[in-house]
Order: sequence, then C-alpha cells, then structure tokens
Amino acid sequence: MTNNLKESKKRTQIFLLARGKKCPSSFFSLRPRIVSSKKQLSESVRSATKDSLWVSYEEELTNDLMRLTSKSNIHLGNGLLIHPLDMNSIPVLTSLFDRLAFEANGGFLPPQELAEVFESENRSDLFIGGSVNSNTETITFWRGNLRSLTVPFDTFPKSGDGTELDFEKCTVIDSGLTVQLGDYEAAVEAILYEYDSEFRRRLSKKRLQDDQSFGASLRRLRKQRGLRREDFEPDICAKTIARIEQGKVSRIQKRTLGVLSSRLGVMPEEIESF
Amino acid sequence: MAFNFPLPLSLRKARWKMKIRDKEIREHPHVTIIRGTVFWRVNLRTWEFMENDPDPALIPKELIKILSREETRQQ
Repeated sequence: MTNNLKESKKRTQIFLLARGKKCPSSFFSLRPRIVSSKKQLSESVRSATKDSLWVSYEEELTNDLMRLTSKSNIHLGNGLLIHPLDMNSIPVLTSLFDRLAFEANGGFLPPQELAEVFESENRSDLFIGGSVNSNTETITFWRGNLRSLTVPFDTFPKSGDGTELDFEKCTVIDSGLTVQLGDYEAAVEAILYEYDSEFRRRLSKKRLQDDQSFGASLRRLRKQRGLRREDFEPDICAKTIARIEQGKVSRIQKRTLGVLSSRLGVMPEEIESF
Repeated sequence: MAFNFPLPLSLRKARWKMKIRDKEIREHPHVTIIRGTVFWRVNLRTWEFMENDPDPALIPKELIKILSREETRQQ
C-alpha cells in the first residue's frame, strides 16, 4: 500500500549461503545462487555487484566470506544474516556490506514470507524482522530493502481494551505487514506513517487518488482545472469548498452544486466521475 | 487485543486473513483483509472497500460472503 507503492522492478541477484536441509526451498522462485562451499563463495564474490543481496543461514559460510574478502577492499551489496552472530564480526561486516541486517534480540520472518517480501515490489514498505532493546526501550525494525527503522516503545499506545503490550514477544507477521507484541498487533504502515516522511507523502498521494468520495472527486477536478478554493468566491466561500472536499458536508445544496458545475464546466452529476 | 475473524480452513490454507489490529493509521475504523504481502481495507462504518487498488475482485467470493454476514450482524 502501501500495496502498490512500487519500487524498481529490477531483479536483485541473491546469494543464498546455506547447506543441506538448512537451504530454504521457498527462495528458489527468486532464482538465487546457492552457495555452500568455499569455492562457490569465491566465485560469487567475483560476480557480486553493489545491488547484490547475500542471505546467510550458515554462520560458518559467513565467517568464510569474511576471511575470503579480508584482503580486498570490496563491497558486496547488502547482507542479511539469519544465524547467531559474534558481535565482534559487526565492524568487518559493516565494511563489507552497504546495508546489514542481523539477528540480535529478535528474529526474522520465516523463509517463505521472507522470500515473498523480497519478491514484492513494495518491499521497502514491509518489515522482515525486529530487534528489541529493553535498555533504551526501542525496537529496531529491518525493512525489506534492509534499511533499519528504530522506534521507541511508546509508538505503541495501549489499545482500548487495555491489552498489555509484551515487548519480549516482538515478532513481525503477515509477510511483513504486521508487528505483533504478544496479543497486541500494529499495522506496519501505521509505524511507517509516523516515522518515514517519504512514505507518508507517497501514501497520502495514493489515498487521495483512490478516494472515491464526492469531495475527493471535486478536489481532483478543481486541481485539474487549475482553480483555487478562493476562485469560487463570492458564490461559495473557500471554507465551504474545503469542507465539501474533506467530506464534512453531508448534503450539498442545489445552488452550490450549480455554481460548482458551471465553474468547473461539467454537468453536476459528472463531478463524481473525476 | 487484535481481533482475527475466524475463517474456514480452505481460506486459511490459501493464506487469507481478516483482522482488526490495535494500531492503525488514524483514519476510519477498518477491517484488514490480508493475503501474503497484499492487503485490502474495508471501512467498518460503510462496509465499502477504502481503495480500488488492489482490486477487491481478487478476494474470493467465500470471504466476501463472510464480510457481508459480518456487516448484517453489525447492523
């Protein structure tokens, strides 16, 4: 939405570091290059670009990758590490990857949903995992484009029925659309709406385009005609136009409708079709 | 507490969900229908789809029937 705030359609080259049963078949639709040996690792490093995505389910292979690239100053693209991680590796990994997401105090979506997010055109508007820091009372979420977003606990107000929020049980569900905190659920778009101004702009624009109400149609038509709300004065004051556009007027007077249609150059019943 | 509408097994197997979450963008109260990374919002006052994109026609008739029953029950 969020659903259709689309990103680039370009397919990202995915390197999937996994061995045997740990290799999640749900990623196969993304046509990843499966990397399960040192030889395959060095071949993959040679073909990586800044847009590549490295998904590792195997700590040993991640360590091999760090060893392999330690002598060269290269950027491999973005990295998602779904295995326990030695925190001493973080400096090395951050110099290797442009964006890095890793398991800390929390987890990621199951492989099927993770693959679904990576396949989605609006992946940057979906969360793939979260990490809770009780000391700072914050949660850091990873988005589908591997950018992170840190929000304070008070982003989540108690619901009307007094449901307690359980930050210990923070998980991302519904293929990245919902954050679950025990019995409490929050829409990811509501979080992004509060903390990402670019998302807010895109969403507001889309919602205005999608709004099928009379007020929204009037607003679109007025803008198309290049008119300001004040341009309907003195017949209709600008405040009244604003109230109609915002859906605050339930019954529009015949005379008002007549003025609107004559200024906008359409039949009254046509306004709603814009 | 989030409310998940009970759905028949066939819809659940096909990964359909219908829910009211605790935190949403402050607009009209709505129910969210979810399948994978795609979702639809239905206004709980008017019982109309709040957006035309994605196309509500993609939702199975069985689920629409459940939605209509819920609308009748609420009214």
